Amino acid sequence: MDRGRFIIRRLLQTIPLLAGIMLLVLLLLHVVPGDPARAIGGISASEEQVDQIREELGLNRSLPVQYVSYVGNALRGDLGRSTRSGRTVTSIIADRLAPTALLLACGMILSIALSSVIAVISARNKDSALDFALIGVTVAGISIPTFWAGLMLILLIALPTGLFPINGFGDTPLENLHSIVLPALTFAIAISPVMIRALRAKLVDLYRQDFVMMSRAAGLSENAILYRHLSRHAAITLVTMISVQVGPMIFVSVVSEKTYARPGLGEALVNAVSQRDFPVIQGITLVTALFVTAVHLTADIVISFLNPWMTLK
Amino acid sequence: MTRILEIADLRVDLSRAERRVSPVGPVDLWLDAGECLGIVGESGSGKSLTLKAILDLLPDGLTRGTGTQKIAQGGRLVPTDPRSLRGAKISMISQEPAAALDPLMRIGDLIGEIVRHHSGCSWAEARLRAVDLLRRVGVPDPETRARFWPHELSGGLKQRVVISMALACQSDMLLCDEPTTALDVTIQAQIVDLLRDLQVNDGLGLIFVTHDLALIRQIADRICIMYAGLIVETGPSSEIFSNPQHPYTRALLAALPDIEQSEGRLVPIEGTPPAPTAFPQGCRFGPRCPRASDVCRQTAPALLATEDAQDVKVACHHTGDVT
Amino acid sequence: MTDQSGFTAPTEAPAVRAPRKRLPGKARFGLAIIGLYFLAGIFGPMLLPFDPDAANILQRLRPPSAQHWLGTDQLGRDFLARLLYAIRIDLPVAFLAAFFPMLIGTALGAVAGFFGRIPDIVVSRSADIVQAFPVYVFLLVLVFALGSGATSFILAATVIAWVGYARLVRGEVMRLREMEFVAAARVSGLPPLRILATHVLPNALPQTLIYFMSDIVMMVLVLSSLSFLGVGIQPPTAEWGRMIAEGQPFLRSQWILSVAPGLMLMVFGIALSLVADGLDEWSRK
Repeated sequence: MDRGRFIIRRLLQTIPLLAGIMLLVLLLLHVVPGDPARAIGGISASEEQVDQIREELGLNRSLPVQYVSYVGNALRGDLGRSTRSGRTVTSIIADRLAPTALLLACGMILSIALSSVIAVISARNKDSALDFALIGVTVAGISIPTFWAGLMLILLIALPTGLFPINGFGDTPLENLHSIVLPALTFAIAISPVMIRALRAKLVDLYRQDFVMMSRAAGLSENAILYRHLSRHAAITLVTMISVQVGPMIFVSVVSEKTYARPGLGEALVNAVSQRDFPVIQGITLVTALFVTAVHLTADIVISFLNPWMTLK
Repeated sequence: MTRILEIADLRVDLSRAERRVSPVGPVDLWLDAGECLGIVGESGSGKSLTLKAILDLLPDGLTRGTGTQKIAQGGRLVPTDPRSLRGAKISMISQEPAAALDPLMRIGDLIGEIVRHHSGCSWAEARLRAVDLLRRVGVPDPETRARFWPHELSGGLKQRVVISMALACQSDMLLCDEPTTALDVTIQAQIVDLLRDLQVNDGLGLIFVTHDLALIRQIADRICIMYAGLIVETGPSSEIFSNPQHPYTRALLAALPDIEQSEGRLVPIEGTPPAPTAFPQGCRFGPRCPRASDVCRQTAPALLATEDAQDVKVACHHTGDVT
Repeated sequence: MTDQSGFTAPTEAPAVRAPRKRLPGKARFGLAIIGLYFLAGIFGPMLLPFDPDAANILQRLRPPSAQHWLGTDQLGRDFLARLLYAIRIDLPVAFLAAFFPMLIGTALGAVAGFFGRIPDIVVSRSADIVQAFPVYVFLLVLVFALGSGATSFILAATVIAWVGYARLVRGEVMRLREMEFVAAARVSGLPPLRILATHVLPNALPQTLIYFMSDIVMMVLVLSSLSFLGVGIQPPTAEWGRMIAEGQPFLRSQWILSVAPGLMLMVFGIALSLVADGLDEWSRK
């Protein structure tokens, strides 16, 4: 299949997907047991307050009407107002974006670097004691909760050395970077193990391929084979893994923001949950879903460029 | 003839085994400049492992055992580390051209990379040389093809590209591991012609591994017949085909449908070759051999020159027996 | 492997028995650890003379002693009792939160893969939409919407996690559908659902089970994470994630309150990963 046509088709597929995403986000309000307006207002709210909430969220209208107006508003960038602070959801999200974006970016870069190095060491020394040790660490890494890893970093690194702040985001760019070290490390501890597994398996398989043997036969060094040949294949695996792992990555950033008290989107989400602030919850959920969709789309397009024979479905 | 390669006592061992298990060897091999040596055997006879062991390219779980490998250098034969020969003195082409090419690199870059590695020239020059090499192995319209991805070429063209990558090394010897097995019959003939041409006109020494006797008869000057990891008979191609000595060689030739003596009847060899962990005591062909006697079951026969033809060697207790 | 040839067993015992495939050592090691968790969960709280929920402010934050082996928490509750009692919460909830998605996902994936066409389109598109959400964030929001607690968690997990099983089983079924023995069953006129149930699904089972095990590991981690965030299991019920969160303010003075529940989670996760890995090797032999 032609690459251009693939990209256009892939873009077109995104439209019904977006419609489905917004429907699910809207339906979130309706899975609440009993009367959603009452649930949001809480037991102490008066009948008038509950009516007002119902009015504000448009819950008194039919579902299709709600859906059309929700989609229409969302397309204009209007995601409603917080039922607690009265601020627009869009402005809340804009305020909270920077710490989360920085964490995702740094965490992702660190995870990719860490996974690549460990996977290469593991695959090159396949079945050695070192390989088994690294596999053991990987399995342990998969089995620990993110927030606990964060706490252990605080307990074992931050508290004894006092080198890193354990909460907040800082005010200057330098402070921002300083504050990102432990959260990014926590992120990498949570995300790398799965990537290491996939990359190691891919590399082990690649080292068995005929073309690697033929490159050796032609006298190319192990490093030349790794950097000039295997890296291209590994890049496809990495991009695929980022695409698959983007959902968990967002959850991990939510949890590590809570652990390190960082004022990001994740913390805003957790606060909104504890305050039953539905418009904010819906807004942030929608934004993260859009991000995931964008990453999936980008990954597919990037892979179509990395992979000349387009074995795409 | 000048000798360019001499290997004594070549073995391939299982890496992780309680006792020494050698799927191949001990095997002695040599090659003269511009000569084609054919190694023939059933699948599992160890012929392909022997070839890979020359460059120490054995798959996981197998190691090259002891043995000396000498290579011609300044008119003398010098012991050399097999890995240092890769691409420098000896290059290789393999059975499955589709798998031998990295699918994520363009043809021109694949060849150019090897040219650059061995000559240290610039990328631009390497690309030009790559096109020249493609032309030399008979790829039509090489300038365009150099920009193709491997999957865009047919099987025959892929194998030509693999050969051009081997030629990019500018070595004196080419190891061919069943280079035509995966190809259509007509394409097979073209590839064999190309290899012959390289051998005769460029003086490239070939070691050609195959199970195809008809093919080896066409191309090889000298032949080694392998069975269960050992050479059972070796000598000039003409001698082997006209006067096979070893019962296994005879059985192989009898299995060839177009040899006159067999009256067009295909005679299959009874039984199957043994696994390396279960090589029988004595002669390894013994259990399948019609002429096996007590001595065959006790001691392994040595590979010895025959009385009537000095350059033919046979490993059989019953050489020269009247049939 | 079970005997699939259909021949009846010979009446006489064969002289040489085919070597039975044994579970690899690591899988048996993992199973042993999980067995210990079961025993500790069932008998531990019975043997300890403490009510895991009984607060005693006078006894709060005591270091480990002969009476309280792991000390007491911020409300003066015996920490070991809570640690063991939490097994009764975390393990069954995580198991069910992986089990129901497996049932539903396997059924949907099998139907989609076997029949193709409209069932496949419906299942695959629904899976696409669910997958567009960051899985566990979606789970968090859904648990919140349904109201915190174990039931909500299991329900929300079922709504979301069926996708993974459906994709896996759909792929396996599509692969198996094309194989000889299925074609043979078709030619012999068996009804499609019967072929699916008796010939196709059993062959897709090992991979599904392996996925199920890694899913339990994920679910126990997500459950504890949600509780840490305040959405999962609610206090005073003992749950590891919640306990870690409650111990966080005392990280400096009494680190065991945060460390021990994390270790319980980690060891359980490793044990189950070992079983899954071992099972994977075993099924490929």
